[in-house]
Amino acid sequence: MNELSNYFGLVGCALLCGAVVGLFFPARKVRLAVAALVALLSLTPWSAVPSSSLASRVFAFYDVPSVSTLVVAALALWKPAIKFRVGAFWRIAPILVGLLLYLSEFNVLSVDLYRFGYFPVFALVAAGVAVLFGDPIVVVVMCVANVLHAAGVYANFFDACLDFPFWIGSIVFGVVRLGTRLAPKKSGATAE
Amino acid sequence: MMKKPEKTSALLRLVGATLILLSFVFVRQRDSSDDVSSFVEARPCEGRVERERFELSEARSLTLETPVQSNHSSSIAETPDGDLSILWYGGTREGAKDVCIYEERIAPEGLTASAPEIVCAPSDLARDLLRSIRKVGNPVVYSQDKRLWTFVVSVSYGGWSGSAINYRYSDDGGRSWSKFRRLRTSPFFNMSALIRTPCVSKTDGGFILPVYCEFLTKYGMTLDFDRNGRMLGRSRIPIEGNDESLQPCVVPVAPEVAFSFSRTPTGKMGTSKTTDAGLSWRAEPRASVENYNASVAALALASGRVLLVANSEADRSRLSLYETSAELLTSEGETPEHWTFLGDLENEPNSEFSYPFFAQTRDGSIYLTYTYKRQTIKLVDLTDCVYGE
Repeated sequence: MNELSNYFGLVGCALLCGAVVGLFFPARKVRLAVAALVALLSLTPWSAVPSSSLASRVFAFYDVPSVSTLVVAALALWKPAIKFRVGAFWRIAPILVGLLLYLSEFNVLSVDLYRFGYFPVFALVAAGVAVLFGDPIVVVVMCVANVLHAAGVYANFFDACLDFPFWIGSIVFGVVRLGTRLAPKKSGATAE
Repeated sequence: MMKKPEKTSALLRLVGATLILLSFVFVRQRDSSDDVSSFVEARPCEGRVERERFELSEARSLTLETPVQSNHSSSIAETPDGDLSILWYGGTREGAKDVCIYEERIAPEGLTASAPEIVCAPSDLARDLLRSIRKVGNPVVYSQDKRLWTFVVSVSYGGWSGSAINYRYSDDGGRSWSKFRRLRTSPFFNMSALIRTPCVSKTDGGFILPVYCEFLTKYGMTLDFDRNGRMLGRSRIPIEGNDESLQPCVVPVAPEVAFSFSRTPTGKMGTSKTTDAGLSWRAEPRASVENYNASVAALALASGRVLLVANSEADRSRLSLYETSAELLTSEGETPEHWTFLGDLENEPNSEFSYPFFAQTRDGSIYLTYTYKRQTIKLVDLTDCVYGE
């Protein structure tokens, strides 16, 4: 990781702070304005120590947010009810990949999937597959992730595509969507 | 004729493919070296012959005068200028807010010490990394030809299990430094990676850094770096029974063979072996040396002897020196009942002597540092113990 990674991570965390607050407002212009204001305020140090800002404290815990998280936050700010047109494979992939990553990280699985993310060839192949077969939003995320990984913002390609909160969000989204699909449809009342 | 959404999708794929191609070209330019790397061989001592028997009585030592009351986890390396740089962390107590990384420079000829200086405080890391830092610890110094590296553990929230590894380097012997940068070692908030043991040099100019993780489970691994300090990958270090282990100490015994000795909660060291210069590791039978949940240090000599420093008492009141040979270590089918006890470096009840760290300089001299009663750091010159005239 290089110094660009630090600036990208800090600004990314500031944007997440803005998004979390902005999403409470229904009107788009107000939502975007509030998000921008909160993001700027979060970058402001509370004391003479530069690292006392809210964004610095979030950054200290979160590290650099993934491209997926930032894109989802940005799209949600634009249109909270936006429907992501993503095929089933690309909805399930982050859940499975995250499961393998975190289970191996905690030594539950002996396979170390994360180590492959350091290899530039792996990033290129994964992005290439996304470009060929992915939905537009997946193409954008994987290409941006690939470019940032090549530029050294992310040392590991998995971190560029996926972080723990995004993984949790994918599971929640998947469960809700599955629940909606499995719920019995209400039949319309017929007039006699 | 293509509809508008189809045109957009096709255009997007074309742009995406172009970006990937450009990334590929960029990566190929950056990875221009295809050298196959192996471990750098141990250096003989210039103009001197190795003794048949290790003579502990010939050791010279120096106890550093430290400005703070609690000092721990030292690291030593030879700078490009020929001095010895010793780093450690000190403060009122381990994990306190006033803990900083100290450095003392030693002139090797007369073991003459300079005054210790603070080289890294939590605020220095916070300034460079743009994030809040609560405490620092476990520095490791490494000399890579003309570049001097400093690795430091930092914690922003919680205890050591929430730590991360940071590094900076100097190309002028430590007079000026790059900004601190953070290593990416885990997908889970990049959390819980620490360092303790020396880097191991490779023939292509790269090196490996042994690290360990402590969040929910404990295991060791090595991080692989190229000559420019770019991280190439990581490899897990398993031990027998897949038990918990910490602070692996890697000691190369052949160009592509190295052993790793890890601290474990039991009374024996965990042992692992690589035969591909650190790309992968496998568990080996545990070493017979008693080491009670403490960090060890190991060094391979040019003759094939391997020295080991370990804590043979549970309260760390005894720091003992052992030796074996690379031939015995690498022999297949044998249990590792082949460590020879050389003597005690320290043996004083109700005192702590721990966290040893070996360094061998360019002229083959051998130095060892360790925590002395948690009050200071002790430096021991073992060169005359190993080599005669």
